[in-house]
Amino acid sequence: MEGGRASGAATALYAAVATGGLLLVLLPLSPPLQRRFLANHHLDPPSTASWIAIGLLPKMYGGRHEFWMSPEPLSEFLRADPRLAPFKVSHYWVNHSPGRAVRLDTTREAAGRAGATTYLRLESSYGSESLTSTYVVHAAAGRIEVRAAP
Amino acid sequence: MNTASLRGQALRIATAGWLVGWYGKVVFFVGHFREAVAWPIDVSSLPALLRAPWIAAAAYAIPVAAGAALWFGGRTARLAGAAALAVAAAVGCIHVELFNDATFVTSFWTALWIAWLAAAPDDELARHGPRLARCVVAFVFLGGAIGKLTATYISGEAFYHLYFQQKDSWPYSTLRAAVSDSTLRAIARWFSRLVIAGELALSLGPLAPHRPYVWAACAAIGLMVLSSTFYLFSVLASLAAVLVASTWLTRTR
Repeated sequence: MEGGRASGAATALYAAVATGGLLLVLLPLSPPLQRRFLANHHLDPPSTASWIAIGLLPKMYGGRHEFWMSPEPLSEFLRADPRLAPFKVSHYWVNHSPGRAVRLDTTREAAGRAGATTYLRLESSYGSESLTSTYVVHAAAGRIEVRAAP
Repeated sequence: MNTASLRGQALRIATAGWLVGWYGKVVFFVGHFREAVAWPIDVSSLPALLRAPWIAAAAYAIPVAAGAALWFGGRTARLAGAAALAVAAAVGCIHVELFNDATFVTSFWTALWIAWLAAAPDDELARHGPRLARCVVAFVFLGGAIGKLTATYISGEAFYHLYFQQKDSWPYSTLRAAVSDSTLRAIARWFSRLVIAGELALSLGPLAPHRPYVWAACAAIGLMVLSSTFYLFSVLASLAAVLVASTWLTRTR
């Protein structure tokens, strides 16, 4: 028979799951929470505490996430039709966390050796909220420097 | 079989499945850490510790020792091992080199269940173990379902791009060649709705009878791996493992 008195360990796990579940259920109803989730997906949290709290919640394959990578900035005009760009533009949909693109995962070493600069445009949306972020990723002095671009 | 023996067996089942998922992509991660050490990411929005490649590599390696403690150790070693699994997974959830991999989120929550199993009094194993396991698994699927309650997923557009356009593996490459774009979009729409319905159903785990839920969840996990990529196995293996281990605990009744 399930149930009955719970130990401190069981109570703590029930409470943790219930708290996390409540946050998840509130997500479609709360634009401020949606903005925090989107900020996490873009690697731009309002605080480290927010990054940690939302980072621990399950959020795979949720919301709309796309990113574009190019050697030159991608203007609004070119974003509308990247085929018009006079440079190579890579465009991907991702299941979640498009902020991963700052790591240049498949081209990191080559970009590092070449000292290349990559422009990233991230677009995400969930519910009533959307977020566009642009980053300049530059390989120099043995590091991959990530700066938010205007 | 006595309770101590059952607890030990359940811990081994859960830990083994957890480790299989955790290290399922070890070849990828070894290469990833090599690049991360050579070219660390410098992003100002995260503290230095959450950017340090050695922290990510250490967090990835620690479960080897933690797993051994859970497998062979006494009560104190098991508690320490379970705590180490949870801490390693938590680091994976928030480190810049690892944060996007859902393996670390599922591993974190299942590690908490393993920690409960290591700490729980004997008389609680069968009374709360199965329900707690269903709560953890249901919570993970709830996260997936809630995230998909958007026009992009309900219309199938997200899966159309993610799977039906971008994936080169079977059956997506075959489908692209065989059917028109409008048919592909229709398939993506119903595929997406099926996934949402399945995840919503699995998020009702705390209310469901245990064994049917375990069968349904394990079947769903198998279908998800088949329809996506084998890499998804690393995300879902720990969920299946705690469900099986929790079913083992019912033998104490």
